[in-house]
Amino acid sequence: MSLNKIESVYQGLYFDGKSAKATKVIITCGMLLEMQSEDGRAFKKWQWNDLREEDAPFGYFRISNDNDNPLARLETTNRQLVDMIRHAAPALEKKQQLERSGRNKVIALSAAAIVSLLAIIIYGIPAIATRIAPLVPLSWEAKLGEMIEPQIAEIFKVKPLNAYICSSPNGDAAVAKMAKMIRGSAELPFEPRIKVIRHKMKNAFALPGGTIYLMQGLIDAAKSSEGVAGVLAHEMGHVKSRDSIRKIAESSGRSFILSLLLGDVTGSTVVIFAGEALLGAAYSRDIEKNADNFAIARLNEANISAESMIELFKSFDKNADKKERNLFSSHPLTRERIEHLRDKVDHNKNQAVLTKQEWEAMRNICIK
Amino acid sequence: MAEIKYWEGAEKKPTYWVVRVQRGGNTLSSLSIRGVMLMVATLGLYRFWFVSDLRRFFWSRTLVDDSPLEYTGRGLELFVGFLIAVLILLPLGLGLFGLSLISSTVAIISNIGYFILLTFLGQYALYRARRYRLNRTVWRGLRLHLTGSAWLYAFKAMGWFVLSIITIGLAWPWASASLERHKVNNTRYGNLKLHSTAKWSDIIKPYLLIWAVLVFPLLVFSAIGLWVYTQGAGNLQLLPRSLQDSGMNEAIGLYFSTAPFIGLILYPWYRAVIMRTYFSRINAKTASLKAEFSTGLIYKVWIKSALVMSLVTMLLGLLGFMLFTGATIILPTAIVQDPAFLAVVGGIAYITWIAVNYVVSITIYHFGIWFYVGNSMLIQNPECIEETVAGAKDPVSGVSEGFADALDVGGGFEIGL
Repeated sequence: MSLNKIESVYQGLYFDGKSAKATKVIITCGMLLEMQSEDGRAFKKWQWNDLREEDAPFGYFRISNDNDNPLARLETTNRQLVDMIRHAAPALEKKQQLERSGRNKVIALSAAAIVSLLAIIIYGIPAIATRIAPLVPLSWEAKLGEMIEPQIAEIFKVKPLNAYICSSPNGDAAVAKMAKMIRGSAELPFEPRIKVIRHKMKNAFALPGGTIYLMQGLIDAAKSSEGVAGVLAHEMGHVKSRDSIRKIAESSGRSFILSLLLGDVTGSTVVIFAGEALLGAAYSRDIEKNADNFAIARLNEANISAESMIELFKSFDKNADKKERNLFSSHPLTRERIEHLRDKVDHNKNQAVLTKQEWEAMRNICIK
Repeated sequence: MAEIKYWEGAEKKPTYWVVRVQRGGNTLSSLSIRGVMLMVATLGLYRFWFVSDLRRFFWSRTLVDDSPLEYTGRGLELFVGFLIAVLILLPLGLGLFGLSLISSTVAIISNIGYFILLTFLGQYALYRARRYRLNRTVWRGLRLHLTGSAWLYAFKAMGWFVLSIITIGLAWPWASASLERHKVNNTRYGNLKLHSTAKWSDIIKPYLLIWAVLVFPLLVFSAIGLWVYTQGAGNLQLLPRSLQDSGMNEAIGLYFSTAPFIGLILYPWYRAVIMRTYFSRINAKTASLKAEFSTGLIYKVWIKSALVMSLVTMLLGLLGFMLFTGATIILPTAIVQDPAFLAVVGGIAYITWIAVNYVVSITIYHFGIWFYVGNSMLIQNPECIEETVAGAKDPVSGVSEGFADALDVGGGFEIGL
């Protein structure tokens, strides 16, 4: 069938993009798509190659012309005419394919963007945080620590006493002696302030600004003062490299990028939280390793054996000797980490940290 | 569909135009399923293209006087707009974070300030997002527009929010009607100005009922609680006997056990009244819009959505349970008991559930409301609309909506107008 010879007559509506008035047109398909107004006057001539199919509801067909007003439209509901236009204007199909392949490109690109963003989250942000941490003024870090301290109190205070910090003259003296000995000649950005919390948990942690909390459970679990000294040295390592600032910078950066990525999508906060926990734990392995190295260096300088510290670490986690890695654990006591410590143990060190009486005083610091 | 003979019946001029919305059908379902899957695959980045596709669908299925609406926005411009908005907002967030580190007093002030600023910017962003959506809406070759300053709107909205808080919520009907008028009075179709006569009295009835049932008891409880706290630091024995005997505790218990359900039952009615009256208050020159749908239809959509969502949740739960049981039999116990395995399985289950609910909310809830509200609409005395010519304004940029997305205020994922 030759299109040139077919001169069928169809009806449609033309909108010029300048006024809301619809123009009823008679459409003839020849060399060009021709529109005539009701009175038979030639109204518009459109090149087949310039046509573009626009969104239309079921049963409708809507085209625009690349060389006409961008909002000018021809609408028709005549199926026969639609078939003829499609046949005469292969560009319609091509342009739609182009749009579809453009869409696929977008999907491929965003997949690439996701990969690079994940790389930024996993490698870039920790690297940036490590570089940012030393630039944060010490006064800011100290202030941040002051802001967090009341929250710690809120978590650990026991009613009705509200006394969650343990203190006794001899116990405090023992803690101070231990801290002084461990610190030795190490340069720390803050004067470490060590506090013992009345709590069963076997743990210790450092706040921004140099406050180190030892928990009663940890002291109870230690067989000797050298073990506690090792943990204290480890926490001083965190103070030294300002790890809390690094962690804050990191986790803000990470959640910022994740929340941008996920945007408004329902439930994104849960996904962000889970992602945070996973990625945070993965990176903290490196931080912990560094703090371990610092601890070993301190112990060696003070001529103290690290064996008790390793024993104490192992007792934290009954799974320490198992091979499985717990993705969410922030103190990943893998065999790997303990072996790393073992390699560095110097068995000739034998200096005791506290005397028997001092160690007793420290163990009883929470007993009234 | 039968062909429309544009020539016939041209003599008798109807005094109103009908709005028709075609059913969504399988096209909408497959569009939503595909879009949600791509969103998951691209960690949400696909949302700009997805929401554009959905709007193109919703718009093109909506016919006013037999002429379909057209949405001319595209995903790419939304994406670029979002990136630009992020670049503008990023220093702001960082600056405020830095400020909060100076001292704890500054931190509290800057946190409150940040919250207020976000609410303010959120209103600004919502207005600009609306401007973008209207600007990309074309009917009979003419665009819609939203004129006026987004800052002015944001200031007005903040003022009304403050007043509503001071008046324990009672000023809200005035606020709502005033903001609605502001939005509609700035809306143009070509050079045709739209006008709204929305009034506080339009929504006062359902609002007051919700207020009396849900907000007022909460205020009474808080007042009593505050009084008790200031008197005797939480000692309930200090309460006058009369108050203790009057069943105060029972009242609080009853309130908190029933309030969520009462809220769920009343809210669709409130939404229906708002939509019906506000739409019907819109006019332009002699033409006026009517949306006389029954509240029952809105309830129908809510109930249907809720039923399908619970059904889907149950089926997914069952499927998940079967798969998990199967996995525990096949896989070694060491893997099954690993928290990481549980976390991954839980994560997949959660994302699947969200994705499926998302599809349901688009196809049943959003399109359902659009369908029934749209189909009930009439434009009375529409002749003057035909005389409309294009306005002078150029198309606005995608940054307008980018702000709303970057601020997470919800406007970024709004399908409707």
